[in-house]
Amino acid sequence: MPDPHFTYPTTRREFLRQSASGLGLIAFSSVAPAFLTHSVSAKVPKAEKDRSILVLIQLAGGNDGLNTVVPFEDDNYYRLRPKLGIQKKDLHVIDDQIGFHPGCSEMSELYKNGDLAIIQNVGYPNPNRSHFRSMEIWETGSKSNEFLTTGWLGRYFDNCCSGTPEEDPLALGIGNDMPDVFLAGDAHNVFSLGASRGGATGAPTGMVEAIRDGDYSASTNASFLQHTLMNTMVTERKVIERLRGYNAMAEYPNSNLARNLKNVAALIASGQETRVYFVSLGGFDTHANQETRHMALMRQLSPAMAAFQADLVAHGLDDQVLTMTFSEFGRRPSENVSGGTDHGTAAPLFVMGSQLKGSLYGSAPDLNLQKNKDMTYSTDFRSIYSTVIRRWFDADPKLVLDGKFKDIKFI
Amino acid sequence: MKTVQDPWSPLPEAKWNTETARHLASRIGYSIHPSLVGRIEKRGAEGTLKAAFGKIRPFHKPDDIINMEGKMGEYQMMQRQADSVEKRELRQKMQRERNRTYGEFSVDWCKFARDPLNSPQEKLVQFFQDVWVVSYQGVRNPASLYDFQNQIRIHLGKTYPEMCRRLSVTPAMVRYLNQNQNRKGSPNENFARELFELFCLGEGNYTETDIKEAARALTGYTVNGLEKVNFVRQRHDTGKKTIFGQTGNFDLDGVIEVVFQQPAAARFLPQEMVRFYLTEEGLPDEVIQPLADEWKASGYSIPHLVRTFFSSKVFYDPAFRGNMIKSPTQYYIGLLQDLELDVFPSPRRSTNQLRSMGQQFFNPPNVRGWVGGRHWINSATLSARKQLVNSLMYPFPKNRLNADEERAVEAATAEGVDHFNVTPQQLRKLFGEEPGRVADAIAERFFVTQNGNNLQDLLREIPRDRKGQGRFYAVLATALSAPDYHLC
Repeated sequence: MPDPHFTYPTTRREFLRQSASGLGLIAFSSVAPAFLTHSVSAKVPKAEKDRSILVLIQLAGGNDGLNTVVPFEDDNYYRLRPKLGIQKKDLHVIDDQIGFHPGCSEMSELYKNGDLAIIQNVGYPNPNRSHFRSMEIWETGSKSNEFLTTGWLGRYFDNCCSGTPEEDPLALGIGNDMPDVFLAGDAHNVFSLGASRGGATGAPTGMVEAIRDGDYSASTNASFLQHTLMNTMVTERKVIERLRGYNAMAEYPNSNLARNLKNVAALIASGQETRVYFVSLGGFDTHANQETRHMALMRQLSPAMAAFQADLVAHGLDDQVLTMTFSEFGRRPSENVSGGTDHGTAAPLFVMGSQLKGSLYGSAPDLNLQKNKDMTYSTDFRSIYSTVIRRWFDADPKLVLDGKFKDIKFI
Repeated sequence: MKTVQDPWSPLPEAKWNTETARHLASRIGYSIHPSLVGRIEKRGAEGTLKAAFGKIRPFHKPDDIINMEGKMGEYQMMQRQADSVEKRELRQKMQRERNRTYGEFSVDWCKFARDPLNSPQEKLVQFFQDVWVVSYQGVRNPASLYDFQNQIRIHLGKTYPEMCRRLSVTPAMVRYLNQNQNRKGSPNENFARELFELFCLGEGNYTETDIKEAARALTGYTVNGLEKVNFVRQRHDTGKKTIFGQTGNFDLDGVIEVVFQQPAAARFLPQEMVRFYLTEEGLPDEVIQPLADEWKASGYSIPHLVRTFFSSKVFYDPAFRGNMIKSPTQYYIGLLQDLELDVFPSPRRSTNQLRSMGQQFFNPPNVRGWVGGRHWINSATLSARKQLVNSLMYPFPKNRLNADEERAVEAATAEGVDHFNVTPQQLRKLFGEEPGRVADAIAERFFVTQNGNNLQDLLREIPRDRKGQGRFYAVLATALSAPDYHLC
């Protein structure tokens, strides 16, 4: 019969305290969460608290880069987009060539303050225009004709984070699917938190207890499952508690993306030792009626990113966090007849943080194109991954990426 | 397991009961749905096996693959007149077409395997796919994967050497293990090595010289752009080779023949079957040996092996009940069968979940295949399993379907196979039991262990903060995430 006042321990200290006070947890130590068993091997170096954190924002569906960062001095832009082209007067102009989409006032401010950088015209050779395949290429960091079963960050975990104690999840995704970026060869504590209902959907009340109290004989597959499930649920519960207790120090707008980023800020502020967070914003597949839809998306993205950054600054955590957007492809420069754009190739990518060195990287796309032709990328997306691995995570990109890619020195 | 007299002789009829029927259901197929167990119990082991494996159930080439092959032919014609830029574009188009078709193939196969009449056969096909491994990543052509899988299927009624002979010359295998680069004067040992190590004999049952010589014997095969395998006499090494101490002018047939003269060959596949169907740990050689002898005496007949294995005292030994961790495929298809649901007709909502759970369709990480067992389980794959369950509890929001998916759902509705989530009526049936019986009823229905004790607490806890149907969904979702449900 479970004690109604019993709360499951969420830290090693709590666990030991409760065990010592006779709650009998030691009695099922065969199913003790991993943090206990790990703590025994004191040789493993303790992870530092101030290590760098990466936050990925996926723009799913293929963001129209050309209308996000607009080359208003390029006549070709207006030639290819007679209806969808945005006039200079409506843009947030940031230099003599380009301006942000009208919905991106906050991003424009961040850019001017040096907290946001644009990497222009990012893509890869032989681009694939299928959503799923191109996203897979981005997430696995593969060549266009290569199929990898691990994500680029999964390989980073395999090579650089194996054997470290994983009391907290190493990577955490908010969303209903486990992102491919985290697929790894070894088992890591990778955690995914449902995005619906604000992100806080734990196991139903009673599930942890039911599984904890389950009577399974030791060293069977059943007890192994019980142990791993417990671990997963204890992490889940811990994460949800951290989310509940959070005081944001910036005002987040009322959107799903903002709620998800607020949750990420909460977990970072709680000291959770997660290295990579993943959030997603969908709806970028604007084949029709793009003007309205893209505006709504930019109005979601821009203020949410700004609030997240402001919150980190207010908590004094901004030095630790690098935020990066990515999308499976940009859209075709020529607009289509439905007031939209079709699947394209390269697009700008944004990085945000207070450790950035400059603001604008890579060359702008060449739009001297015939109707319905696609842009040619000028910066390989794996150059950015390489930069993040080397300069942000302080690891060797060779362990993660096949081939050599020139770093882009934004950090 | 205790020592059993004559371990591979059939379980006496007197010992046949609901428990043994349940065990057989969970191992030859994916589910222990009461209707399946009931039928198996009535038919007995022999009748069940005859119904399950007696004749090959054809899985016809999916239309998407046929269409793709047509398009590939056109593209190849176009390529002949194309300049280099156009050629590249055509290649990309072809690759996109292959990827899309691969996704559709995965869904089509799941639909076929989900039909309980086909499940035992298709699980057996999966077993052979797990011995004779090829992957989409390595083959990159869904038509060749279908062909490979179908060769397995149509050889289920024949002998294992025949199957091995045939699979060796499929375009999928010739590509996957570089047989097309294995030619006279510059042998490639990749295939020869795996033929011995992973497909027929097991490690330690051959020497490096055997591999080198066998590789020479296996030279000469090529595969062309139309995915046809040819034997090119000029590429074949006709010199003398010595394999397992026998010298001669061996070719593929000769290699297969000499492989199956090895004592290890008779033990290898039975042991693989034990690991796939009975216990991940395998059984000691001395337990396997009598089965090996019998199988060899049958001329390595696959039906004979299957029949003997699933009728045997060993198979029904209580030590092996509810001890195996379900593979993601078993978990997924089993869930659908247990809950009487249909395969969602789009990879995004069906077979992509297999990948999140760690078993992408026809795409194991390497030639060893899936490691299985406890390797299926970690926090990410458990979360993926939980998410799969949650996704079956409520309808998928219609406004989030893309145009292709809408069409596929409409087609499924027209065919009457559009039950994609648990209905309130199903819940009422499950939870309509007397309150004291609900936990047991759920366990009987879903847990191979039938142990509902661990659910009692759950039922006590959950009503406090959930009301009505929401509460039932929560209980059901929890039951389907509990350790017991991951076991078969």
